[in-house]
Amino acid sequence: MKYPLSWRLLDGLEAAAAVLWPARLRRLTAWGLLAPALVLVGVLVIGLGYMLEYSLHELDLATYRLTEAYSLTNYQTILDRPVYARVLGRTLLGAVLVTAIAVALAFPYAYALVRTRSAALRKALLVALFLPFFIGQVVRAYGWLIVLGREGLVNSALAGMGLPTVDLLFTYPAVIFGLVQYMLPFAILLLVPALAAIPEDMELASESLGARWISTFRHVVIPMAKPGLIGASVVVFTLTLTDFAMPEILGGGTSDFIASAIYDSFFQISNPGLGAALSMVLVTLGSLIVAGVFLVAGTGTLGVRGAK
Amino acid sequence: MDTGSSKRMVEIAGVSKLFGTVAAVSDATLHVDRGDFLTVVGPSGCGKTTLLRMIAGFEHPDAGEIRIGGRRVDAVPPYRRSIGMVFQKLALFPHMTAAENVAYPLKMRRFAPAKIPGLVDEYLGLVRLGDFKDRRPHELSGGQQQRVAIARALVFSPDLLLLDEPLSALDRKLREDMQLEFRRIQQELGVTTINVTHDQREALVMSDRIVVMEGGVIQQADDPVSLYRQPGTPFVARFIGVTSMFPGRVTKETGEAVTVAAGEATLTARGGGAVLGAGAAVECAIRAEQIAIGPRDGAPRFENAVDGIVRQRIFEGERMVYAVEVPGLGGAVLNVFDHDPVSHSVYDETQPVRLEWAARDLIAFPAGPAPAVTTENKPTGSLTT
Ligand SMILES: Nc1ncnc2c1ncn2[C@@H]1O[C@H](COP(=O)(O)OP(=O)(O)OP(=O)(O)O)[C@@H](O)[C@H]1O
Ligand SMILES: [Mg+2]
Repeated sequence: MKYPLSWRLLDGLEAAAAVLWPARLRRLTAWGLLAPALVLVGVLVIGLGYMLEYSLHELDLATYRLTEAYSLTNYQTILDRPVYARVLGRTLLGAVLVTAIAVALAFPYAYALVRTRSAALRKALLVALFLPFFIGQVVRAYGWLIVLGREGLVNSALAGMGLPTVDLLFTYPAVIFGLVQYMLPFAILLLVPALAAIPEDMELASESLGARWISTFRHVVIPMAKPGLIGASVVVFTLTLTDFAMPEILGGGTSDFIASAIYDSFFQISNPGLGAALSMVLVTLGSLIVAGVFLVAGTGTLGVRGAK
Repeated sequence: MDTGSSKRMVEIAGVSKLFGTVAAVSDATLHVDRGDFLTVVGPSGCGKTTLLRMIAGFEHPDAGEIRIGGRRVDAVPPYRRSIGMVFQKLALFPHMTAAENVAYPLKMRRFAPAKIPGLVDEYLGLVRLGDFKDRRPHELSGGQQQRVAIARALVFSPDLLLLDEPLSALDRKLREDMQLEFRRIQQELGVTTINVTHDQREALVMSDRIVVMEGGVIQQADDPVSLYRQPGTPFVARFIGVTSMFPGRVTKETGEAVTVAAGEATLTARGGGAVLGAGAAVECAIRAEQIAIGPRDGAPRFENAVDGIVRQRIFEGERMVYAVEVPGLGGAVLNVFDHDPVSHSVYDETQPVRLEWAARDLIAFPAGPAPAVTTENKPTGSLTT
């Protein structure tokens, strides 16, 4: 009896592996596979340590160097200058709005993608979902400049209809709009597997038990999609919280997010201490909010079945 | 409402469903009487689920009409039909406890909130799950999950209960227990039930009536005993029970009985549901338990006798199963059950034996694609189409 070539090749590989990587070492395999991720996270943690260290030194305006002595001056500055509270508030509100809108829009899209019986529609939805990933954030932001600008498509259309033109660009809503548009594919991508994991029979069962589709959604689909909803919300929220390009380009300086303030501290006013302190505030705030979400929603949220 | 529809809970007339070019169900006509337990049985892919989904309202027939309680339901959405359904994979809501699952249809159907806990307790009691109210589905065993699913489907007193092979995933012992359990509950409540399965045993055990389907076409509908005794098509003969088939040709026809030449043997058979003139090609069917196995030199007991050689012998405790090759029938292998392995002789592999059976037990079907029997209008027990 001759086995197919691929089987024999695999058998050979296995035999070779057994010699090179004896069973004694097997229990190290998992760690070996984890190593790259651990190194990456480790580097991030070290970076964060340096940030913390920077943030605790005041800028010496005479030398434009950070002083040796430890102080909380940078944090005091953030508290004292109302502009930082404003930027922080704007960022948080933006993140909340973008998360709510993006997830709300992503849900029906993901649902249609998962449930449609038409192969053509599914393909169209998939292509439309992945296309934006090939176009970077900056390019897309510039695209919106063209569409929304003073001489842009929208205003030309308005002018053509004899209506007054409007300032669409360089406003907070423009930033939110651009961010929602940017985050939508991420939200959809995270919701699709969660919805695909709900057997269609669940919905049919609910329907035959007397529920209209809206009740089915409320009592069956949304609770069962909770892991995906939370995952999508957390990802969109943190991505928005730290976003730089959209507020820069579509806000044009009117609607800076905290990332812009950090950038300015480092590269405009050359105060790495203040930039680091702002970064620490951002990281702490983001972590606290995400931790809070997981605490409320339960640790099992990200897919561990049955955990309460 | 006419008098006919008060006895008939479900009437399905000429219903077809196409998926692309595949006819999942074609021209199905059947009915279920109030309080009856009907089982639709057939091999995988024969259209059972599709038929059930059309009754439940998840799928719309391309042709024909479905009436439930005398009312046409084409335009009635599933949530307005009074149908409890137990799905192939149960579809219990994983985020709700057993009690919440059972309460769900009551809430959705706007039962008075004060009545709900009582009904939930009553139906969980009915399926003997009173102590498991607060468990989630994943904290219950397979059989317990079945019980929750059935309680949930029945708690709102639906007109009709649909079962889509809910027992197929269970092991044999549990499946047989649950079959009896389902039957007990169904009889206790008197709810009209349509069950779907590919397990012919389950169909025989549980049902008042059985519908046999193949390739989207209803082959025969009858009560279990009549169906077993008088299969209307070769497919039904093969699918229900253990039946051996071999080809032959009619040489003489005398009323119900026909004489068939098969291989070198001349056998007497009864016609299986069609007029068979001399010269007609037939397929002969004989059930394993109708064949008597004995030594070649014994006194003749029945009209038909052929000689064969035992090729396989399987001892199953309450019966002995033989596979006997019969050279005189063109080498056909016949399955034989001996239901008394305690007092009868046992024949080993390669041993020569004689097989005998009565003329009325050998059924001759017209060979080739036989026309399906439309048993809707056929009086029980008749053999004619
Ligand atoms: N949504 C669908 N789209 C296309 N074809 C389908 C669809 N549903 C069922 N079919 C086809 O219709 C036929 C009948 O399917 P159905 O699910 O009714 O079979 P079944 O008798 O329930 O089988 P099983 O015992 O395996 O559950 C099959 O050939 C199947 O491939
Ligand atoms: Mg099925």
